Amino acid sequence: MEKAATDLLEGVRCLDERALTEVYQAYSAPLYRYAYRLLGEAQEAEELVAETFHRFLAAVRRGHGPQTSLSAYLYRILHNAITDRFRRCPPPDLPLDEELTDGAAGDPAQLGAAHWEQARARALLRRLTPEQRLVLTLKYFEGLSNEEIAAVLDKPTGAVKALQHRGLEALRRLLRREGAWA
Amino acid sequence: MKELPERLDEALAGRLPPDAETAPLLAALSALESLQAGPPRSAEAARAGLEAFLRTARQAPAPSAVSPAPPARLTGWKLTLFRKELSPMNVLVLLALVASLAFGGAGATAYAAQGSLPDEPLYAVKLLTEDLRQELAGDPSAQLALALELAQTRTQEMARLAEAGRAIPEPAAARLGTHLETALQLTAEVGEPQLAAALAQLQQQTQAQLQSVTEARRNAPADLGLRLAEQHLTQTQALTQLGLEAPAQFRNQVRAGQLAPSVTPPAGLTRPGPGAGFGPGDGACDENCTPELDGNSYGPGLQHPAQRQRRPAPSTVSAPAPRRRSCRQPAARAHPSTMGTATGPDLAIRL
Repeated sequence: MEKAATDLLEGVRCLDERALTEVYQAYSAPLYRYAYRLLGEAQEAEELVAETFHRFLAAVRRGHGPQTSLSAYLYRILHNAITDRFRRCPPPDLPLDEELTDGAAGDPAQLGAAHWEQARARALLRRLTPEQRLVLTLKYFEGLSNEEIAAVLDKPTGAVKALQHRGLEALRRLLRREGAWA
Repeated sequence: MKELPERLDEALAGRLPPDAETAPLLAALSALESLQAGPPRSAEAARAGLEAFLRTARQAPAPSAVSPAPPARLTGWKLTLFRKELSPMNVLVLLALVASLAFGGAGATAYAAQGSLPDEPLYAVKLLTEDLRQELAGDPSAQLALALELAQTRTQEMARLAEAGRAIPEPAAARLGTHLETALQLTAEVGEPQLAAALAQLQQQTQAQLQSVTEARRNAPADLGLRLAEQHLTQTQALTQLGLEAPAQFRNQVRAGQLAPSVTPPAGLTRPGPGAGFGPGDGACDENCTPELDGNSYGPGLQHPAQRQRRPAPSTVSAPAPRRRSCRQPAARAHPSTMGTATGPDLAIRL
């Protein structure tokens, strides 16, 4: 682990305000994107990001918290929070995307088509297992490596590759069932 | 050839061209392409989130930078009688050992004392354990059962002593009387439906004990302890018979402490013969009679029949010394038959 990362982790354990600010500024935006892609609602995504940092602080106070990778630790908290949210209140299959319906500029027909595509993609992701969903989202949207995702899942990289394969297989089956892919 | 997950991963990274198996999977990934470009996050929301995060962090004191160190292990010399560490289990074992040494001896002594006889050194320990059992007996039925059991124990002790040709100490016989008295008082408080059964049990037990004592007396007819025990058992039998015939009278009599019924004393005890002790006897005594204390320094001679009637013939035994009673036991009033009796030998008994 790099010295900067080590110093940052040390500052986090001491609840150093500068270190905490640095962590929030570095990771809150990708976490928000991850949450928004899966939820489709800005307010709900913000709430889950706030919940993620709250749990992170609580763990640090108990003497736990990340030992090696901050990003992996935060993504794992957020992933668990989203999974809990899906279990508690499953979202509708095709929710409205507020960014597309809230005064966005452009052709209404194009906006409608884009909205439909995003809602369909979220619906497909939600039908995967939580781990498959996490692997595909982090790898193809956030660009994390297999090793980084393995750290989030606390599994070996071979398991990440297997999850990736099974996730894509499941996605293909779902699409074929929809009739979009032969 | 590599496995499919491996080839798929290589193809996704662009290190391998798609093949027949990986191509459909890569094509399926395009269904998620619409989520690639997400909306930008609100700067205001990001700032508010950071402030909330820092505010939460300030609410609690900062924890220690390092985890609490485990208890340090000793590496040098330590002046102690024990090992440098005592595990909880070892401490428990040590406490159990100390307790067994402290109380185990007493327990063994008490156990050994249970077979002792009244004239043996450990008998006091036996009585102590019996007193403790009486104190711990909770409900009246348990107390009654214990009193009957202890009365049986006393009777057996007397039989063993008599069989061995040893004298029966007075306290043993007196203690039998106490147990029987307790049993009578507890029986008097038994409810009406159970009274007959309790009295029958008491009568049956005292009958057996009386037979045992009577048999023992054949071997030691002059033993005063056995004689006293026989008196107690006879009195108890008479009272239980009274209870069976007139329960109300039985209750009143026992509650009033009149535990000495009008029982005819055993033959040979009420009318002392010449030389038996005080009193003129029945007027048939010869010169060996005890002089009448009439102040004339002369012997009594033959008494007038009227005078003999005024003075009841004394028994060889007299009223007992006051016994210690528990709080719930009313003080026994002297029975009329005990009044005016003269002091006999070292034995005290109510008639």
